[in-house]
Amino acid sequence: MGGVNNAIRDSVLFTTADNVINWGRRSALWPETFGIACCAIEMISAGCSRYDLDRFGVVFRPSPRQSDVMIIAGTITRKFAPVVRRLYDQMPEPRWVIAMGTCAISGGVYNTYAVVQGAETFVPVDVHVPGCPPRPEALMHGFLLLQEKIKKSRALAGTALDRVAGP
Amino acid sequence: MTAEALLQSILASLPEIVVVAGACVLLILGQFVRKGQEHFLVWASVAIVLIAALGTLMLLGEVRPAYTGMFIADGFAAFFKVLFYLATGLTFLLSPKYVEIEEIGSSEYYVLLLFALSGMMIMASATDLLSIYVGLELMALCTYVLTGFLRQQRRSNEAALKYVILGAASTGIFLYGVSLVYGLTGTTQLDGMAAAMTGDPLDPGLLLAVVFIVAGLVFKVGAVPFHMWVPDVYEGAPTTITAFMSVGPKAAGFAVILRVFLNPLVAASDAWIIVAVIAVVTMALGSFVALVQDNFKRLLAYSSIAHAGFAMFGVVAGGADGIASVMLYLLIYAFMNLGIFGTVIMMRNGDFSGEVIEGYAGFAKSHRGLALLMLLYLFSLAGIPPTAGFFAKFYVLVALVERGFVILAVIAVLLSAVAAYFYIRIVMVIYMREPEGAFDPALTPSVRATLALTAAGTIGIGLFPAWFLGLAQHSVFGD
Amino acid sequence: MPKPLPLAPASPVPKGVDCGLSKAHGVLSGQCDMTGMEFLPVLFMVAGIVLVAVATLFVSSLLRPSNPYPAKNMPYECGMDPAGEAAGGRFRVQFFILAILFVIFDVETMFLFPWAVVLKEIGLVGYVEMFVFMLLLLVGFAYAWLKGALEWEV
Repeated sequence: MGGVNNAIRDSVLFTTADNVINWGRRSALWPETFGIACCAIEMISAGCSRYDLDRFGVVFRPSPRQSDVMIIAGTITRKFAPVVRRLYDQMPEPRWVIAMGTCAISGGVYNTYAVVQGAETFVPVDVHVPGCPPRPEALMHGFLLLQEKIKKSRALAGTALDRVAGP
Repeated sequence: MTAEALLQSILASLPEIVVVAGACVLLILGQFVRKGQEHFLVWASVAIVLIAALGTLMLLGEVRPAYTGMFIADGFAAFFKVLFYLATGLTFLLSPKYVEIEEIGSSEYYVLLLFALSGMMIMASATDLLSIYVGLELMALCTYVLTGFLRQQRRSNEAALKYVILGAASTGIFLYGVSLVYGLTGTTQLDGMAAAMTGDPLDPGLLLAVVFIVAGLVFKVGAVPFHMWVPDVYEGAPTTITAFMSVGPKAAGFAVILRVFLNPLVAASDAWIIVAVIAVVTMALGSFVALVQDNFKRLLAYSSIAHAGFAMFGVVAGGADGIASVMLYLLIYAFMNLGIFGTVIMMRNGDFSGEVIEGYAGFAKSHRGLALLMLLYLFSLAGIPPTAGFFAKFYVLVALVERGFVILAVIAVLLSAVAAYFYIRIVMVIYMREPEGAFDPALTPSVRATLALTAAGTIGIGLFPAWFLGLAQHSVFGD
Repeated sequence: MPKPLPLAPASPVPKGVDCGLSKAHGVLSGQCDMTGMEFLPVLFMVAGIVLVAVATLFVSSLLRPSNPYPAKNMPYECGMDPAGEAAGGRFRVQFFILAILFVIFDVETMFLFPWAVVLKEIGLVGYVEMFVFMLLLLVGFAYAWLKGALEWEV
């Protein structure tokens, strides 16, 4: 079960580093403003003054190169899916995806030839926020869930230090 | 500067002004020259060179300092300027047919050569580190462009790019040395630098500065460890430009080095050890690597490095004999190098590139006279009497031995013997092999004239060496 | 009328600063004390800066994930494939030519400023000298014009 193997990885140095780095990452989640359809309106109002997202450290960035999380807000058509995938690719690690609204989760009401039945078919999704459209509080709840997820993850996975510490 | 000081300066630098003004006029006029009238450009350029030469010869007689100590027109400068006129004029004479074959005969070719000439003239006359820099850059930038003139050939573009990058780096080192000299002595005049070098104890910063300056200059000459550009650039450039580059900028670099070492105070210091090491390594590298070359231009590039090394021996010798021997060496080298390059240029015709040595096999069977000329130049380069090349080496060795550097003289002779091999090998290829096809050398009247002049120089100086040596000594020390 | 300010400072220049000047006038004054040791704090500062920068980058490289792949390295163009002149690798040479010409004439202008300031002292001779300089640059300008370097379209 890896009791001996994980001795280094579970040591106080690594777990403290994980705690600190994860705190930094979840407290400043910068999303890419990627509103495709009606859910974008709810996303915008979540970012505005009444349901302020800025107090969670969420600052909307125009470019994928500067963002941590992509909120897929709206219906993804087949024509548009490659663009979404390209933008996901152009985000630097560590990156997360929030699928907002039923269209992004599973195609919603549109079970047609032109709509992709869920973002999960081509990008890995971390948090689903159901609703049509979800209220701004629901989006905030999604962000808080994402923060919980980040808190429980290992920050140094895949880094040089992790490879040195052993398999 | 007052009006009369300005007029004096203009008089002293009249040849340079003539060349620059002529080049500017030719630059504009060249845009209006029609397709078939390119010969006008050649003759105009030669005329400019001749007028400037006339100017230099008329100004001989008295030493004229000019431009508040930055420029001087004395015998030393006049000797080198005559050398430059020779190099540039003969290059112009060799050019017409060659540039027609290679299709590079635009007016810029001639104008750039004239500007390079003016840069070299400024270098020979400069007595201030900044004037040296101005002349150096003017000459260098023009030769960079001329190296890359064969735009369709990748080899030429590569050579030009290498030359630019390495040249820029070496100029940077030179300027760093100049700035250090200014910081330590407060002046950029050569006299000021020499005066500071004799200070006791010698400031290590000043020695470092002089090392940087010499390093920047030694690049232009092609001495080790800054020789890496020479083979590629000489091979890639148009052959007329290679001929020009192997004579002109090299002589200009030596002119500046000699002026720095002309000051007896500097020569007495310990700087000669560095120069001696550079000279030995340069000559060794040039001689040994040339043994395995099969491209004529590349072989001549390495031979050029070896000759530069030999001339550096003369700089090591120092004193009246040493400096005069270096100047004579450069004059003789100009004649024989332009001659051998003239034959390579002449062989470039149609499909025959004239660059592969094996391609010259059996040349003597069909063209006896031209083969004899090639033999003359190659023997002169090898240093076989009674050609001038022998006397060039002889006087350098005499200067070395008289100053007590016997070991260096022995090393020089041994390396000369090694170098003689590849020259004689070419003679053997020309005379003792069977020809593979018919030869069709492009012998225009101007090429004939050039070959005649260089042959006359090679034999003539070989018959009356003492007179030419006396000329060199007189120009340096005013007898 | 108030007295005009003197151009030279009234107080004597302190000795340590005078070092370079006295050497320039050929007098090697023994009171020169700007030795190399005085620049030691500068060396420490430079070393410290380099150390901090290198250490920061090194520690970051240990702690960050690195996962480059072709789709990630493509230029960002709102998710589309890159299109246009720059993406195709084409470069308009006119920009370069114009930049070079600008540098040359800008340096010429730069020389005109101090000349204008001292024109009164250097008189007619200086005036003619500057015009000779400008004439040489004018030749270059005429050449550029005749050669078509100032054409914008190809």
